[in-house]
Amino acid sequence: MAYIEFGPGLPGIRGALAFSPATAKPLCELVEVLLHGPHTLTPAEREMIATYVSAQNDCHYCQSCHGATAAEHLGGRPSDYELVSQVKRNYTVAPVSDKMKALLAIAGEVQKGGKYVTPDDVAAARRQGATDKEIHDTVLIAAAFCMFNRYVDGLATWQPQDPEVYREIGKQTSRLGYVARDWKQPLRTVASK
Amino acid sequence: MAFRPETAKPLNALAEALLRGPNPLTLAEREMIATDVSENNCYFCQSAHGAVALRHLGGNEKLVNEIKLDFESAPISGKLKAMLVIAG
Repeated sequence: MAYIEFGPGLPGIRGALAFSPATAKPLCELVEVLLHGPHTLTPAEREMIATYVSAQNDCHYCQSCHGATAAEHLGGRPSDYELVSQVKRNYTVAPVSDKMKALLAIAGEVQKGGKYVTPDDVAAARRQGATDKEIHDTVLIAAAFCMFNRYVDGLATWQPQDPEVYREIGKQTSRLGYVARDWKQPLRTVASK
Repeated sequence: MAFRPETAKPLNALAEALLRGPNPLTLAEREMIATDVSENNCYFCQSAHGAVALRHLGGNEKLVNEIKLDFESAPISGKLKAMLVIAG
């Protein structure tokens, strides 16, 4: 049971965003810029960083939403979902670019704590062609998702176990992004249960 | 923030909403939560928000230090102590 009554059928962060529109607005604008807006990293790559950090923080809702969103950006096939699972399990052997591996390493360090990122981590990313903006955004995505994970878990939000819920979220989010969304709108996969 | 104004804008708007928007918790109470969370992690953040909290508390440095050292024993409300436990 969530620590605050958010209303029925609103899983994870959706209930909290509907509860507090004043903080929902900048939170969603931040995620829109970081994960969905124009960028040299693809939306799938950025969602992959978010889901990886969320998995390291053991946040079921966040890793499932952003994992599904990453997979849907890639095409939504079973192989795309499998790639996301591989990255979460062990990105060093997953079929992603060496630049992505270097950025995921940085994200993993940020997840432990900002001070764990070393000059060697950054140099390794630069050697793979990562730009200042890509490094900046990787750190900020990782830091922001540590915040989001604590937000979602800290309020004991309802986190469905049905993967179809997250597939629906992934399809919506990959298409619509994070702003101008009605978070009170019930999910079809939740309403039907 | 100067490097990336597109993310600076929502980050600042979030901090404004959380720390300065209308709220039953006072400005000082919210800055103290931010300071306390930053205490063992980030010198810049704990110093910046500690200074703002100090300003909101009318320069009561003794109180700010008491909260930083051991909030459970500091002369603050039971509610703020409970909030600091949750934040921790």
